[in-house]
Amino acid sequence: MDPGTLDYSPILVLLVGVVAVFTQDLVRENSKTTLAITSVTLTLVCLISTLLVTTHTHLSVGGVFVFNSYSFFFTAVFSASALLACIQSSAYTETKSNPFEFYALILAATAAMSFVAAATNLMALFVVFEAATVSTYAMTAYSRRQKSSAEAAIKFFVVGAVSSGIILYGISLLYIATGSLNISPITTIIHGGSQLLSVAFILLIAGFGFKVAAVPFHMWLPDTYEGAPYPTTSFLSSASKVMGFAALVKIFFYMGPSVTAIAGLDWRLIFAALALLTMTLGNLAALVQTSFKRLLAYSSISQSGYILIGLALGSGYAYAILLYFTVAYVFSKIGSFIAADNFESTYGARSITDYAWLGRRSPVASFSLSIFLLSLAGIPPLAVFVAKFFMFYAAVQAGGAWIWLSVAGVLNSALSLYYYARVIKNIYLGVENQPPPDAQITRERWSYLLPILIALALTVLLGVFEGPVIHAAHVAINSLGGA
Amino acid sequence: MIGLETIIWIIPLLPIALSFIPILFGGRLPKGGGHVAIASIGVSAILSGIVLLRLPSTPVDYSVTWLLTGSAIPLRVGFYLDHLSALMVNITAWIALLILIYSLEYMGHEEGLGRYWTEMMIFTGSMMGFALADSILLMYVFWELIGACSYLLIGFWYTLPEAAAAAKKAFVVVRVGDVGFFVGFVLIYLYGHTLSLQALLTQPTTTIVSPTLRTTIAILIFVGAIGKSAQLPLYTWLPDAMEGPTTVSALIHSATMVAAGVYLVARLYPFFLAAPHALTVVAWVGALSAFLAATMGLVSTDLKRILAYSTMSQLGYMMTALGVGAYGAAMFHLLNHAIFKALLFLSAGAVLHVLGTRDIRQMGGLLRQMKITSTAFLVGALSLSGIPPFNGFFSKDLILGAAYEYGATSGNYYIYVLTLVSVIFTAAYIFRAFFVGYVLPPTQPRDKPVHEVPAVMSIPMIILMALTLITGWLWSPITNIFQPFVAYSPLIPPTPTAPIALTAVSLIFAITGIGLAYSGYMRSLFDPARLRQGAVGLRLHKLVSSGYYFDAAYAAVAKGLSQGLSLALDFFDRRLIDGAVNGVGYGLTLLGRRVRTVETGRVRNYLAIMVVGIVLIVILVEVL
Repeated sequence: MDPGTLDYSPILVLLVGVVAVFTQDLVRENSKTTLAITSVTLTLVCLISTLLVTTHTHLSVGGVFVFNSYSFFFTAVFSASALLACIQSSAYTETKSNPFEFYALILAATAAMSFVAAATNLMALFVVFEAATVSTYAMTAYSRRQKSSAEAAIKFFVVGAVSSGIILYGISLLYIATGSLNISPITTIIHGGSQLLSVAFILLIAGFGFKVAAVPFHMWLPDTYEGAPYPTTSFLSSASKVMGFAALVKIFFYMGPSVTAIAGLDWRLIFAALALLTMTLGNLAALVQTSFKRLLAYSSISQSGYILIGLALGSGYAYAILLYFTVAYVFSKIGSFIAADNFESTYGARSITDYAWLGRRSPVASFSLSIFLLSLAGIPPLAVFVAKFFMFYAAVQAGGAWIWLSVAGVLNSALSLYYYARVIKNIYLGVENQPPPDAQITRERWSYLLPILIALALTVLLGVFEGPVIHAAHVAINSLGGA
Repeated sequence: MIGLETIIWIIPLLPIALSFIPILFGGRLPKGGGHVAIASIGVSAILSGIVLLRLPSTPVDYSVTWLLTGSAIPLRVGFYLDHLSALMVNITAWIALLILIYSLEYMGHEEGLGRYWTEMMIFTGSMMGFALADSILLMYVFWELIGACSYLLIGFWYTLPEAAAAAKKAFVVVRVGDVGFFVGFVLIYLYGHTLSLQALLTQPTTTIVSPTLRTTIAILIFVGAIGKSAQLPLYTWLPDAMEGPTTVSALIHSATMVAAGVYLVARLYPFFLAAPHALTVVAWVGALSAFLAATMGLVSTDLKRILAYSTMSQLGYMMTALGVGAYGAAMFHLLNHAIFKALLFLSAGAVLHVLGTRDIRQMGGLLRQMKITSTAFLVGALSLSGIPPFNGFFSKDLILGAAYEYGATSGNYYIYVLTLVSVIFTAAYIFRAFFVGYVLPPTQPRDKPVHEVPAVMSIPMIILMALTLITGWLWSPITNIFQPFVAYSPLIPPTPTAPIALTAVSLIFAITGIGLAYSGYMRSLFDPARLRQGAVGLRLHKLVSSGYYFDAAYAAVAKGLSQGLSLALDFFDRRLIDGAVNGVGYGLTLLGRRVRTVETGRVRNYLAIMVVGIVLIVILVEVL
């Protein structure tokens, strides 16, 4: 195959996929299985073609998008998340009369996200960012007859809309100040002085902070995660959040140093403060949660805090580790949500006390969930441990006050083990005064088991053999070129 | 054709990678997933065999960069293939395979069988990983895995208080040695700036320059080996470990756990050679262990404990061999001992399986009904005593010869005398067990008939019997197939050879031992019970049967030390630490509740907080 065609294929596959899924509805009635298989195949093809793309690729589209190793790295993360979410959705959409849109929305969001990672112009970035976000609003409201789903979507939408406004406001201030919308180093201030530029960047941080759930822009997240259908939650916690990081890293990689030079704004301190707040508050709130889905939501906030350390450090090495962190985090997180979905649909388990003795009834899912939680807590040799290790190591190497970031990170990890371990304890040792049930082992459904096992394999594999992904992350950051 | 570089990774990692199957799915599989365990170890064994056949003449290191890639401190891990590691991995894999096949029947009716298979798979895989590891760090990782698995396996019947206590004791006592190993390798890293085996094996003197430091490190590492190989003074866990299933004992005593200690010294042999006086310590500890354990074997009445003391004694021989410079003899004895000791344990296990007792006084009269089992024990006993043409004879003879030569060159004949006298005791205690436990008629009539064990248990014994007859000839006065395994590195000295007359001496000693047991127990020419009468006899008996008071001494020291210390620590722990931890926990939970109340569920509050956040950041940045 012509290498040029292959390079376009990840995006083409997704775009064609959206159309294909919609038209399938017209052509054939009641083919939910085919639909799921089509979507899974599409995301899989997208993932594989992304992995096959050469590292030197540099495709410019319309002058505002450049597809290179950086964007393909994220396309791989997005399509892998979409792949797992699609398999998971096949259980969810079984009872739905209109499953077509759900898959189409996942594919559309994934395509838009891939463009976010490729954007080189703030306005273009905003448009595709919104396209992805709007798809996720609809996905959140998908169980529209359920009050919780609708409520989650409304909250998500209102806060999201305000955040979009904030981003747009930031972009316009930036344009007033510099006369440019390109994501490239700022050379001059033509209007409004350095303070305007500072405010513009603070607004951008706040707006994208909504997407990555940085405290204090995180408030929507627990409600939305809890109310949304499980496949949506999986997707939101993985691809959608990583998209926020993809945008932030790109903007600050190019524009950060010049903002500091011209406006005197040390944005790294802002990120450091956000990281500190996010990991600590996320963990503290998770300590007292009784609903497992909500616990995972807060744990997802605290993980954002660790990832934000990468932006606070602001070095090429730290960015590469950030990229690795998103990969490591995504699989443990999606895996946990799918396991939670499995337990809720099979046993009606919602609160963490409902998880008592599940280890005896669903050994595979329970074991996998335990591994995911241990990974999130940062226990070696699992994926997130390696990510945290590198991240904290990078902070220690940066020296000075940055060391305190890693101290805070380590303390927070220790704290987080408490609530993760409590769930594992319930799974295997039950809760007080409740004897083990005399239950048989339940037959797991493949729509849950398959993605759980994929995530499990990757969580362990990334932990013991992280080299290739770290290497890819370095290549991705290097492809951004000198700032 | 898969290359060696792939095979070498598969051998240890396959059983570990598949170990989750029995424990998770054992309930649904026949025999609790035993076939998975056997198949995976079987593949490892076959691959080990292939490795042995295609062994490169010079050592090869197959490693990859692991963890910390891209950072300033890359860590390379992998597997190191030379004659020594290839030999060890074959011993482990094949012996483990036979024991696992035997377990199919022996353990077949136990509760929690899946757990057993999983632990055995990790145990064997870790031992193979330990044998093949190319850096001290990786060796240590597998070393600890071996320790953890032995804890789990000895305590397999964890509901029995004795088994739980024995498992704990094994773990704690071995741990004392582990600390030595740990400090040793940290010192290597601090002063040698490397953990790679290759550096230590090829340039021990340039890696660690100071000779004093080399000796310190070597002795610290040897302390680790003392713990694992149950040598003096850290042997006390070994007899108690007999509370575990007999198959576990068989594996621990032949090819895994205790062999790890000897292997550790053998693996780092060039480093030990470069450390002055370290090998002398090794020789003394080995010889004393060999002697004292043999005397303890004489007074025990528990068949498995007799075998446990014999393990300690035989490992003492291997350590002695290493100490006196007979590296080849030590490894040869490791191979032979693994075979005949597994055989003895499997025979003891078969008797236990049928009779339900381990006390030799309650056994007896088994020759006729359990022909294969009894023959197995006899073959093992002859080999252990050092009677030709069984394999134990050949390797023990080499060790004794080397010990004699060591005496001749250094003037220190004590080592030779200790090991030679142990030969009498060895032959006496094992034949005492054979005559009393197998040959003599039972003291009480049995309520149920005795029968031979099924084929799945007897075939492994038959294979081991055949091996006992074969492997000795790998290195006999007339054949030397074993030579490449000794002479693969220029740093390893040739094994000293002794005059043939010495062979006659040790043979006479062995036959004397057997004769003593025969005349005492079969012919009643004298009454062995009278030996422990009279003031001296009584005291001696008490001294030996209490294991030379090592346990009591540890208990006294531990009690004296811990009573005072623990009272203080208890206060510290309960009041200060727990108070602080509970306080922090309580405070954090309280804080968590407070954080949670901010989450009101009202969107307008969320937006307000967002805006306040932005304003705060702007103020902080612009004003401060």
